[in-house]
Amino acid sequence: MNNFEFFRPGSVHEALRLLEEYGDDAKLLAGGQSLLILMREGLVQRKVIIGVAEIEEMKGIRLDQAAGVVRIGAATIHRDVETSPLIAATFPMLSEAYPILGSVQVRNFGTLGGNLCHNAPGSDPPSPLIALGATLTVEGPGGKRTVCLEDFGTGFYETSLGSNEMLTEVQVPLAAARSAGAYHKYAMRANDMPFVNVAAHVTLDAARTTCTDVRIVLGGVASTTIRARQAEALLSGKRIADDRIADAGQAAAAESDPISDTYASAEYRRQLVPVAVRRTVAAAVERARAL
Amino acid sequence: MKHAISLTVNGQPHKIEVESRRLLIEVIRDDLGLLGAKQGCETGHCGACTVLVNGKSAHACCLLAVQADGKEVTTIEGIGTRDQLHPVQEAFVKELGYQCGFCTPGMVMTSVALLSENPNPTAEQVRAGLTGNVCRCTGYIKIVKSVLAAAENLRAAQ
Repeated sequence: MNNFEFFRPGSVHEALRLLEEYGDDAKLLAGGQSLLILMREGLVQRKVIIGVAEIEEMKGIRLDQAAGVVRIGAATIHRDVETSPLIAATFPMLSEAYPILGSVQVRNFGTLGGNLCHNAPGSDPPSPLIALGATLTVEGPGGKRTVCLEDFGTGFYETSLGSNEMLTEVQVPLAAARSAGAYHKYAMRANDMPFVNVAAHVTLDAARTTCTDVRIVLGGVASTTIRARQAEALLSGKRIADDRIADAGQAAAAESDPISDTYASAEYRRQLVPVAVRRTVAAAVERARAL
Repeated sequence: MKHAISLTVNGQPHKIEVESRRLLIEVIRDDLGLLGAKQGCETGHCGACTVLVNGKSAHACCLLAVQADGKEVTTIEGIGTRDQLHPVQEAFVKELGYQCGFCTPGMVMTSVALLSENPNPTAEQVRAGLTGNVCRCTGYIKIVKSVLAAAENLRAAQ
């Protein structure tokens, strides 16, 4: 790696001041479980690295009943999200996405915010979070702005984060009654990046026969995590039926644009998407029915 | 840029001057001469470099030394001695949880952390807990057996 300068600001305010001073010469480092690998490979090089993993105000998971959200600090390590009783009780789908992310060693230092800003295709957290309608607080010299997570990822390892901005918090809205989600991941080995992942979240009517709301989110099949909106439209406001769910799977496949890489070919991914969507939506529906 | 960092390694305080770009695994091996943690994949997948940082298992190849400033680091050299092995090391010896031994320090350190968090794991939980440690030789069966045996011995000792 190049001989960079390293700063460890104690607050968001100080970190933003450093970002303002160094601009494109700087990059934020949280847990380093993604960025350090790129730096070691020579794919990312900056004169200045700003370490934000220890900023206390960016850590923690808490329920904000008044705002109807659970707030997760951007510097919260994956392991804390994984083992949080609040997350397990409130968003079981999110809790389930974590034990199969990387390894314990990675989850002990990797942060949720770092993961979302890195935006590697196929990454686990964005899919269930987008399915839950998560929003982000981004802070910069102009103040704070709120971004929908589904709009945050703009492409392959790219987000809408400006070079003088930082992600400070993730908000996950409390779900409506009769809502449930499921997350399925397909990877070669236990700790590999998924080559396809699907998160589905459904809300049922009182009779539990119709989906009043549905979100279907796909990872690893496009340059960033995507919502399969045409697939959703086939189910939203409609009676639940197996053939409808199967059609949604086919629609999702048509909305995917996978590439071939080390993990899987484009053909395999395209074949897998309708099956994965069908299974994940069915699992979410079953859970919602059981509530 | 150089930083003066303070690390407690296996209970011993160290003050070291390091460049920002030095990795924790490099400082442990090259500056402190502790060669138990190995450099395998150097990309945070194989776990041969696993140490504990404030009691939590970590890929030392994926941490800058400056990220460990002010923290406690435990390596394989710190959990037992030749005359008095740690119960996890004992179990690996008795159950033959190793062949070439390259992955073994990492496997042991991850297992020590795993058992401190979950003293009574199932075989499934042990397997899940070891996904960050790769072994080319054993096929993992005796590694899992070693961890389960260590868990039993640790519980019996209490």
